[in-house]
Amino acid sequence: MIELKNIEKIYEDNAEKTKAVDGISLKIDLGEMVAIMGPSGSGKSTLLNILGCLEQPTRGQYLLNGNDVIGLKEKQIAQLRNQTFGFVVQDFALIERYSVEKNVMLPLLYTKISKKQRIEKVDRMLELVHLSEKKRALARNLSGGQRQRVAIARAIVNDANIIFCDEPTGALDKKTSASIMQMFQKLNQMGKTIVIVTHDPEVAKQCKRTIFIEDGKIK
Amino acid sequence: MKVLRFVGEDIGKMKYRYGIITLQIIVGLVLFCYIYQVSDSFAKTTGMVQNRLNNEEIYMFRDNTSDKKIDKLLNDDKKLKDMKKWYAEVQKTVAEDSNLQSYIADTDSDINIKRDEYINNVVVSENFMDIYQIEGDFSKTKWKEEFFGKSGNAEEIPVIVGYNLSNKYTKGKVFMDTSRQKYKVIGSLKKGSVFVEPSHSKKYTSLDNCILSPYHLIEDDSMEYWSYVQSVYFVTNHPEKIQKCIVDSKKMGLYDLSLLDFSYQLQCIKEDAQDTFAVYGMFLLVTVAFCIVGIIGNMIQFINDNKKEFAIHLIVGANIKEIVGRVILLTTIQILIGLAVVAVIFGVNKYFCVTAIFASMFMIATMVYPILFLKRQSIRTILRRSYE
Repeated sequence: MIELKNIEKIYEDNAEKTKAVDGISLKIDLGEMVAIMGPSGSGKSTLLNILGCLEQPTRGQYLLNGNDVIGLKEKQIAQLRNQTFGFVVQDFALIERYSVEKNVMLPLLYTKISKKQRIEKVDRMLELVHLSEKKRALARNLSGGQRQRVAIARAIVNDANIIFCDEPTGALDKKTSASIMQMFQKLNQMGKTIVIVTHDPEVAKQCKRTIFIEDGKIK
Repeated sequence: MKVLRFVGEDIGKMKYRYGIITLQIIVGLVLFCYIYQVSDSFAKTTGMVQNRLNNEEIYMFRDNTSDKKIDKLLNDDKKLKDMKKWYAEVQKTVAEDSNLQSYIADTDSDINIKRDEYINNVVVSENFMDIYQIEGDFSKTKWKEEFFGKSGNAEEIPVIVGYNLSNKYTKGKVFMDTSRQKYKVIGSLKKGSVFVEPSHSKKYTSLDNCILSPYHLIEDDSMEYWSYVQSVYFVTNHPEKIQKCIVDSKKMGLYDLSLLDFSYQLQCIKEDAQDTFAVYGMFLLVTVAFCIVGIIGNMIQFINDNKKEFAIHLIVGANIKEIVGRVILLTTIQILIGLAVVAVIFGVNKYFCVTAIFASMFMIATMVYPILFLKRQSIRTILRRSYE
């Protein structure tokens, strides 16, 4: 279970302080599919970054399966990002000059598994996201929907249980968005926890629970 | 291993820029090593010469004898005897006074090897090497015996060649001048060997392109005594005894001599050495500055170009140390290539070690900004900035 207790995030720019997250407490059960909604600047992406350990909160407690995450060392946090969390973002965050296979393989390069195992895992993931035939294609030559599927394959290639998605359909058309959301639902049915930050009520509708945020607080 | 793999990719991505910066580093380190080596050798020489001459003056005879009198002196057997006597007196004066040394350094006897091809020949006395602490590959214990002809073949003049001539005139080689006089090479001098010749130059005279041949005075040749008068130098702060020799010469009806001192020339030599150091220092500073600017510029460019990629790596499980390590390794490889070139050119010696220390400090200096930059950024910031 993911549990946040009174989380605050304050950004300091010169003398100016901005409170992006203001005392948020929430619980997300493993296997849940949750949407986080709110207007621009409400702090939803910051919350997602804190959940995904991409940022440290200024104050508060973050428990993952009962373990305090904030006190972990940099290496342990990196391990969490590698083995427990997967990330899917609006602009796909792919290395354009890499092939689909190499992009998906990237998290596995930070583990100690053999090359053979890496290739097997990548093949399985590409099959899951229906991109086996594009294995050797360069990321830069793919369509938006295909890129997002590569990002999803990369997010789960290392058996991550929790997928954090920041506007995953923001750069896609309606049809492609629908297929991507189907893929998230499929992953959720496989037992993965999905947390999606979105503006789109259609996307939120497909999640089991929606958390609304405004001015850094849960509404 | 994985960091090395990514570094390999990084190098491949920017191979031309990386190559140019690597070349710049190679030039910088080679220059550093060269300048350090030359400066060190120069400093040693300067120190040695200054120590030797610091509080002492160099004197030389000025020959004021008229041409008519010279003719008479050179052709009068009685005067030859007086010259021998006077010469012996001068030698005795020098030998008895620990504050007085003399040496011969005759630079007017070039060897004519071929038509229009000459080698600078410096005819030197026994103590010349000791006064200027000149070293080479000749035996320290036996060289005087070999050089001044107490052993060996009398038909061959033993010579010691300057560093730059040592490849052509190897030890044991015999060569002839145009008058068929034979010379035998008995050794070579260390690179950067110098002496002062204040009557000819206001700088150190390098022996790198010279040949040293032994000075012998032929006792029954009156020309030899005249030549001695022209080429003898005295190192002392107490020229009174030499003044007495001048008076004796006049009393004996020999040369009309006076004493020349070289205070001004010696001062020029010292100032010139300081100027040379300043120029070397500036040269080095500019080179190093260019290298630092080049590397830091390259690192900033590299980080800017790869922000997105770094952020992606961080998202999928890299930690910031691995990214910093990747950036450091890029420069480390360049420095190692530079040091390898330095080792090939100069060998692994004291100068290489100092260059390696300099390179390490240089690397630390150039790494400060990239490391601080990367450590200060959160993954979110790096990712966001990669789209700016």
